Amino acid sequence: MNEITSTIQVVPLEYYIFLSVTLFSIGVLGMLIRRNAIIAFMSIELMLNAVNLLMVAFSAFRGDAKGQVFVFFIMVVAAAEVAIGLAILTMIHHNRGSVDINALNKLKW
Amino acid sequence: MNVLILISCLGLLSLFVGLSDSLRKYSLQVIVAGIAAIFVLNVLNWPLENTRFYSDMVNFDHYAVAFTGLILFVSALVFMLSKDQFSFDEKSTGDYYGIMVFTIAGAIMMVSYSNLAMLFIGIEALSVSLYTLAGSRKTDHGSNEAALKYFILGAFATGFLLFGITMIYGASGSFNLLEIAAYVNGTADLPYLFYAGLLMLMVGLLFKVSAVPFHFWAPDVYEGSPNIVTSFMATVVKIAAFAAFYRMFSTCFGAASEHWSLILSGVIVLTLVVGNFSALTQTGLKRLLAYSGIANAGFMLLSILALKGDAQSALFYYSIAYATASLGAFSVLILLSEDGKILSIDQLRGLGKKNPVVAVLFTIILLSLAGIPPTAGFFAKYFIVSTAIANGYLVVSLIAILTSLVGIYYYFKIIAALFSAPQEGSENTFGEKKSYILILCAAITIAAGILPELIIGLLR
Repeated sequence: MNEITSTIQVVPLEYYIFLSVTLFSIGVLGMLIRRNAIIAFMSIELMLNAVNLLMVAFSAFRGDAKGQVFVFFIMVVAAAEVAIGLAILTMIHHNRGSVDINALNKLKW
Repeated sequence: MNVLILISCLGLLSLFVGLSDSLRKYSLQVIVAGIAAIFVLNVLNWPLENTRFYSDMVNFDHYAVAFTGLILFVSALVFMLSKDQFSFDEKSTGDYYGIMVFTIAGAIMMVSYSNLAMLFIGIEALSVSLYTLAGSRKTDHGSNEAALKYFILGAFATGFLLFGITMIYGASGSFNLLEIAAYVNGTADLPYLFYAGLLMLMVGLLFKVSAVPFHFWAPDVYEGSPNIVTSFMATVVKIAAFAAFYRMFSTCFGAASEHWSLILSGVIVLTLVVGNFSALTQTGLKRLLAYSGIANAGFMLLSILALKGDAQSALFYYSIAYATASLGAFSVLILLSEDGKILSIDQLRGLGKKNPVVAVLFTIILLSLAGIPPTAGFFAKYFIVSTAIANGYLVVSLIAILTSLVGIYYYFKIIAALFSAPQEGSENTFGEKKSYILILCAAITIAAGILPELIIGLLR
């Protein structure tokens, strides 16, 4: 455990923050620009994993296990969320034959 | 504590009751009885000795117990309203009820957390259940669309919330609200990391309470979801989201208020203006109620801006007034329209002649939403505005008062429709229908308006 923590600390903390912010921004942009629901799901996963990465980095630098435990919570909830999301998507594909977000225009935005 | 465990067990019980064909028709009675029992237990918790449980993960103080009681009470009313509402999928009724009960469990976590991990789990338990409920009419395109929009934007908001939590953890080294508060109070020069985290957290929470400019999902999701689910979202879920928002800001970020109060003021003004003016142009009752919910969110945010003094009891009173009034309005919607069909305001014309009882009760509800004395809605707005002014937010409070005058116009448009002559060639058949929930909501609205001190005194 200590070995992993010291390995993580080889890279300065700022680099982890920059990397996570970049990954998070890519996720946000993907959500806003791409119109395919599957890509939107992938973007959400990217956002959540950017959070996980940052959480683990903070946790290692502080020598505090709480952050790592939180990461497990995020993983579990993300899995549950995607399960629901894919079920919704399957239902929509079943009814309409498309997962394009633009095709969903019955309710005005 | 035990309330949280029992409500989760009630959800499981409902799933099992739903399994057998012979027991399924009793599932509603089982749940309402269960919630009533848990409500009584919760009230018995009021004289507190020890409030912190599970290694300080939850804190059942008076605030938490009061909001838990309100959530349980309103959900019991929603359940009573839900008779026959899931008839499109008779075999799965137990599942829908079970999911709704799990939503309540999430809501209770959201009002009683004292650790950000618990807040996250609560929000997710609530949201994931709601995504499912929003899409519960599986073959209806509107319901499908509502579920997908709610899911994508909800997950997006969760991402922001988590990023905020992570940054605050990075700055303060803790998820515990009290330790974060100690960090905020004890650090003279807070790092940028902390402010970035605070802003992200705020964005995530503002999404959940549907404040402008993060409101655009709300009208669509409200309109597309089945009526009973919409009434659940507009009452229970909204109360829980605001209680969580207030709890976090009053415990942790009071000392750093100069850094977020300006942004929050801007959001409040936008929410009030956009909510009220968008509601003006609506013709469908359900969508109008959705925008009225956004406008009310602006008022409730005002208590978070005020933060000190009586803001807590003002928020609690507003939650009661708003929940009963909007549940009353939704019970009228459920009474008069079918799922998936839009009930326009014009279709309400002539209700005053054909069914005067419902029309008069609905008028009381609308007066409360508009904030006319002596209903609860007036005192709710009065308390919130007076605490905001007492804490020095005069301009925002004036804007709140002015925009609620706009609100009066569209609520009176409905009242005028109720008591005008029916449309020619309309085939509305709301003859003999009645709703006990509507009567109860109107009664509470008036009772809370006549005796506001009783409720306000609870959390003082």
